[in-house]
Amino acid sequence: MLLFEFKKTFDRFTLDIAGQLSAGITALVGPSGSGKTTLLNLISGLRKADSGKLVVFNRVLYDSQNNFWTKPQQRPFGYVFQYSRLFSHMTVRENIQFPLKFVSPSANRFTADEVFKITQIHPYLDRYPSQLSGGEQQRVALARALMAGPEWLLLDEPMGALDIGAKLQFLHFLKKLHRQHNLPMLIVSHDLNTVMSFADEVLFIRDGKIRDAGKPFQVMSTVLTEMELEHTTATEWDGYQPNYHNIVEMRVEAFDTQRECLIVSRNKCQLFLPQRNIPMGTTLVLHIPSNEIILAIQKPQQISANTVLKGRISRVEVVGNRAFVTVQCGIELVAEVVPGTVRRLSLQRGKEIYLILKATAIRIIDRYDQNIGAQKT
Amino acid sequence: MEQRLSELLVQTVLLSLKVSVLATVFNFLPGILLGWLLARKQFRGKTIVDTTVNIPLVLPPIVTGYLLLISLGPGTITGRFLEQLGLPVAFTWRAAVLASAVVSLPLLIRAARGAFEQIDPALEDAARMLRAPEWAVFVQITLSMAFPGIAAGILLTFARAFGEFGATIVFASNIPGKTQTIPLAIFTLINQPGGERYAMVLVGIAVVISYISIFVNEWLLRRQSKWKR
Repeated sequence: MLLFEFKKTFDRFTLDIAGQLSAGITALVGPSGSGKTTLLNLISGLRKADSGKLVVFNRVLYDSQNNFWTKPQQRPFGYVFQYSRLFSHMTVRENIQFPLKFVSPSANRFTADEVFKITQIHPYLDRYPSQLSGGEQQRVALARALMAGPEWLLLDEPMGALDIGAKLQFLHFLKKLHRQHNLPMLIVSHDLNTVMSFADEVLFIRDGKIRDAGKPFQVMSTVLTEMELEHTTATEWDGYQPNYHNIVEMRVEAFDTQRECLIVSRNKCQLFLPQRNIPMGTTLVLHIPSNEIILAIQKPQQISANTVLKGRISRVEVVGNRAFVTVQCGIELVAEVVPGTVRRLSLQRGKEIYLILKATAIRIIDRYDQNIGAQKT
Repeated sequence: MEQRLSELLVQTVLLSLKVSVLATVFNFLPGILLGWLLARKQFRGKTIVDTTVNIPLVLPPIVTGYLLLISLGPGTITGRFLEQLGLPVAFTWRAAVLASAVVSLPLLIRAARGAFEQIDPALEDAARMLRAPEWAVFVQITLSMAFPGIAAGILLTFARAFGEFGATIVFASNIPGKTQTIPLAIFTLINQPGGERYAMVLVGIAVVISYISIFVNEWLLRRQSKWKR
């Protein structure tokens, strides 16, 4: 648990904010200039607040009343910045080993091997940062932050400079990291769709104050309502349409010669992909956009789409002019429809439903071969 | 006569190297420190400090030498104090070192300042978040990344000290074998009948040493910009 309370006044802006974060993945959203990065810098200790308090896992790190302030070096945070901030005069290996000089081995939560396994950076250990792509640089920055043994990870727009594929790949790394190592994260993003797809909780701040906090779909409704009320035209969310990225890991099982499709599966759920030459046993990380999934009450016959999955609805959430239907079908998939469809088909929790997926709508964002690490796709 | 002149020539070259190396060493710490201070810190009177340290760059070197003479010369309090300590400065090789150091210091400060300004302070914050204590942030990030630029400045300082003439002739005088550096010796030789031959040797040495210094300086500057983000 992280409790914070900060007051900080700048020339034309005041941050006056208090809240608490649970140990999951929390996304911090808000328009530019709302104070997102400032909040991260105050939590990390890189900047000092005028007054306030910060408590992490029952440990007080800052308390202005008692004149108590902990240096950033002694706070239990890892920080992944926008634009990686790798040390350009050091190789990837030297960058990663940098924190080891200052962290006692017993205090480190991650071994180098674990970090390499999570971030898949071994192919470029001896290169310089300038020789890496944006996505690779961010993975190295993540690896370097992990080597400092953080108990909480702060990420400031870590995917700002990445294309959608690299962005989702990076998010998948983060999600795995959180699942496997129980590492809480606070991630700043203005990409609402990405946030919605992978955060446990969302904190919406604006003009230095918290406007809403809670589950992603709920907070997104608040964001959209505010935007509509103000006829927002000038913010970076202009024209925003909610969309959900389903990211699933599935194993290549066989090649269906009749359909000329690759069969991937997980928990008895089978999907068909158009790829041909991927070895059996390979694990694929797949991106299925929510707006590419069609829902049907009855099992459709004789249709062009190859994948038809039977499942049960676990949640229906209306966000603005979209409705998101979460379906359990061995894996969890979120489908996007217009709110009218929810009424027309009486979509509700517990209802049996069919999902229809075109093979060509599914995108491979990463792959792990059977016995070795990830390979670039 | 020929042999004596050759010996003097060797002495002059060695003295010149000694003076410019010592002047560079003398400038090393204040140059880096002032460069860092001007690049990174905001304080009252910054403009005055900035102007003062850069003044020797534009002041006629003779004026710099004269100012040194009237503050550290034999008739002054500081001059007498230094003599009592057994460290007379004016009209000794020490005066040549000091004159060269004062004249070349702004070049190191400017180079160091420029090199520090190129290092993004955000990288220092990144190092702090990786648990690096402040000394390590400075040595391993700021100084390491600025090093090619600073090294280039050191070479430029050396080259400037090597070519110093005006301040040296006033403050250290032109005593063969004692304070006569290469530029002073060339000046003397070209005013002497038959001295041109020796002067040409010294001119050749001066050109080679200066060329190498500036060549390495340029190479280092290119390296610094390669390290830039």
